[in-house]
Amino acid sequence: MLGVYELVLVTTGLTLFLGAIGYAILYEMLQKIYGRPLRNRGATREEVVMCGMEYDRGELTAPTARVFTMIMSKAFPRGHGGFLRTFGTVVLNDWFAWMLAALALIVALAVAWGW
Amino acid sequence: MLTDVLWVLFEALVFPGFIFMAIMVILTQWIHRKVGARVQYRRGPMYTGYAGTLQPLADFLKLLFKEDLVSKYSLRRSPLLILSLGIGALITLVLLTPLAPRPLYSEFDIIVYLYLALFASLAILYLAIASPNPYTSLGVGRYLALLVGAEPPYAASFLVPTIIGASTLSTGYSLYLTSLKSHLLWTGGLANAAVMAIATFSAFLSMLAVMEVKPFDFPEAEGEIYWGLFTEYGGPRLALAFFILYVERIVLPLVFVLLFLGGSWPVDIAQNYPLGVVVILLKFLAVFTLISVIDNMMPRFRPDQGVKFLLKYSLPLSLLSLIAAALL
Repeated sequence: MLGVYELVLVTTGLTLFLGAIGYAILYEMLQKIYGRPLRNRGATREEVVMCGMEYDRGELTAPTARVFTMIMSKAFPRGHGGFLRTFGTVVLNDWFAWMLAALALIVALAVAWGW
Repeated sequence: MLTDVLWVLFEALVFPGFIFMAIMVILTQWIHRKVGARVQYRRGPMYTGYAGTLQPLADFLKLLFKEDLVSKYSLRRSPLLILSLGIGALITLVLLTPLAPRPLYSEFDIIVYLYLALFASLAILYLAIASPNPYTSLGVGRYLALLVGAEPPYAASFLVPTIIGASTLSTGYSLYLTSLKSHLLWTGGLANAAVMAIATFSAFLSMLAVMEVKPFDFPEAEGEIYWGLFTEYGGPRLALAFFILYVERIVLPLVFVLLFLGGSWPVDIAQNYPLGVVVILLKFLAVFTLISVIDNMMPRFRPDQGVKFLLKYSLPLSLLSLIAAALL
């Protein structure tokens, strides 16, 4: 049995090692040896797929946070309204705040049990 | 010391590491396609290899050897590196389980498992964010919402067996030690069995969501947002993205089998390693086939329906089982 810090070090090292092996074999080696090089670098081949719509660089990214907030508001209309009145929109838009709150809840439960 | 290092390298590269995972990806994808074909009254892969077993490999190589085309607005190198790290993290996870002849384990290693497993989801997220496209953005927003709904119940329910094991079997919150005795978690009294049943149900639901299996595949919805997360990808980059998704669909059910379905029981893997491995893999194949049937039969949730379902049913059940496990 390893110590927990040793385990974190070993697993992180193995993650890096296996990631490097995977990248080297799957992408660099096999793709470079057998892969087909780009033969015709036309301008349109590197354009973004927009189904025939006109666009410029600024229009390429839809507001991801707004999509996320919309889904959460539809999933919990009442709770969303309460949150909106209490905290404003900043917390609702922030995915990390949601994940942090959820993880804090789990850690609080685990700590409460430990004590 | 040198022998230990060589063992770890063998496990990481051959069994149950890289090569084993590559073979398992081919096998499981063949099963997934055959099940899908059966559900839809088709025959599925037939010609490449025996009964079409090598068709997933052929498709993977076809993608891998295509031209590597990236949109001019996308990041080029970093998504590949992050994706490879995600693959490395998932394969490392298997070395923490009894499938490894000399497993890596420690007390509280379940936390290491949860952190490495989340790395795969974050790698997929990074891959999507690295390529700007309206449909990709929609996919990312949906994926963020899915993770908010799925990860907390997933983490909470996968903690339950280790907490019960630590308090009743002295397994020290270790994934490996709990896996060796997980069948005893069901037989330690009615209360234990009830808590395990609730946690198993919740863990299975949240696991489906983390793996983006139907009905929770709305971040990729082909017909609506043109594959969302992967709209801009093709060729070798898409091959790597598929590889990480498929490895995730092996590792998560494997750990589910080890923690919730008794691991190698009725064989003690510490006494009979080869037979124990066979039993674990047979249980895994049963769970994977069930997941494939669900994936092929279920319709897709709308994003708000999926998140609501997870936060309304899976999260309360997992928290209930977590609190009950702590009180046992």
